[in-house]
Amino acid sequence: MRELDSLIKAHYRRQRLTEDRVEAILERAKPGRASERVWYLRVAALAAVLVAGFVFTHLHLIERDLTTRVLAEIAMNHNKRLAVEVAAADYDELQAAMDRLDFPIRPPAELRADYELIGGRYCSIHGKLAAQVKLRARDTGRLLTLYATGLTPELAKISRQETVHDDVRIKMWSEGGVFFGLADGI
Amino acid sequence: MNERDLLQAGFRYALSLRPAPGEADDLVQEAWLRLHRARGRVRDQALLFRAIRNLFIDHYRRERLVVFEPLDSVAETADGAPLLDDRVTLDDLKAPLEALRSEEREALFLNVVEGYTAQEIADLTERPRGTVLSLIHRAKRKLREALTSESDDTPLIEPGMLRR
Repeated sequence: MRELDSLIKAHYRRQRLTEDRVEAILERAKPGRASERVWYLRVAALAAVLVAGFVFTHLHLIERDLTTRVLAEIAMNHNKRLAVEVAAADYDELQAAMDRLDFPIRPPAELRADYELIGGRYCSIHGKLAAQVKLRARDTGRLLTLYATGLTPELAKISRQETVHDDVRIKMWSEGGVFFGLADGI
Repeated sequence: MNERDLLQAGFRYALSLRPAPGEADDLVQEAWLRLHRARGRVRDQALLFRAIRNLFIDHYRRERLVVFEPLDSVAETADGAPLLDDRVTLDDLKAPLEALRSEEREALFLNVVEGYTAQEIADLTERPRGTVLSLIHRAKRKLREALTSESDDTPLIEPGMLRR
């Protein structure tokens, strides 16, 4: 007498793929041939990295180019050593005289404490109307130039920094919606 | 289990879903290649079975061949059943087995051949455990009836009479 389960097991044990079929399936699944999707993913990832790198580099170059252009403008204006058009003893007076400006030219308190205001004149920075303010260091008597203009989205991309350009030490920063550049000849 | 043994196990499982060897071969090959593309390697029998099953369901849905029938309300597997006559051969089993509904054959295969518990089958096939028990019970009853009648030379169930 036979048991049904044994018969069923024996039936299925008899069912086999031929060795040729097994070989064929395993061959088709070999990594070198069948992992196209993995390769697609790798290529896509590489492309994404390249695009991200390109964008990052591009943005970085744009910012560096912008910074360089503004530095060059400030250094050139400073080296011209043009005389002030408006003599002023305090910033309120200067602001009132330069009424075309649509931003406050009052620098930070520590700067006002260390430098005496001489006067100012109009100029431009990156195509925007700006103030060129002449200052004298209270301790050394050195003449410095402070540039101020309303902060634009482009100028906002310039990070706070201090550097030397064309023999001029230039410090740039933004605060209170105003972009400042302080130039001091070396 | 090495890759060859996995493939053979997958083939037998595919046969429980589609008794025609050519179709079972196609199922296991496609499932194998899909898993390879997705994971790089196939090591897990449960995963292979699930992939084969999903392909089978997709295929059936496309062909609108899935048949749902109310299942027996009584779920039991306890065989306490009589043994078969010694004259019954493996060849006698083939036709009645193919005549079973695919879900009966699948549950029977997983339980009897692969040793899955009713709960494991229920997890794989996403059917209630009671339904799985009922499927196994009914499959065995149909086979036993067919084999008994064949050995008596008075078939009770012809292959074409049972729904697949």
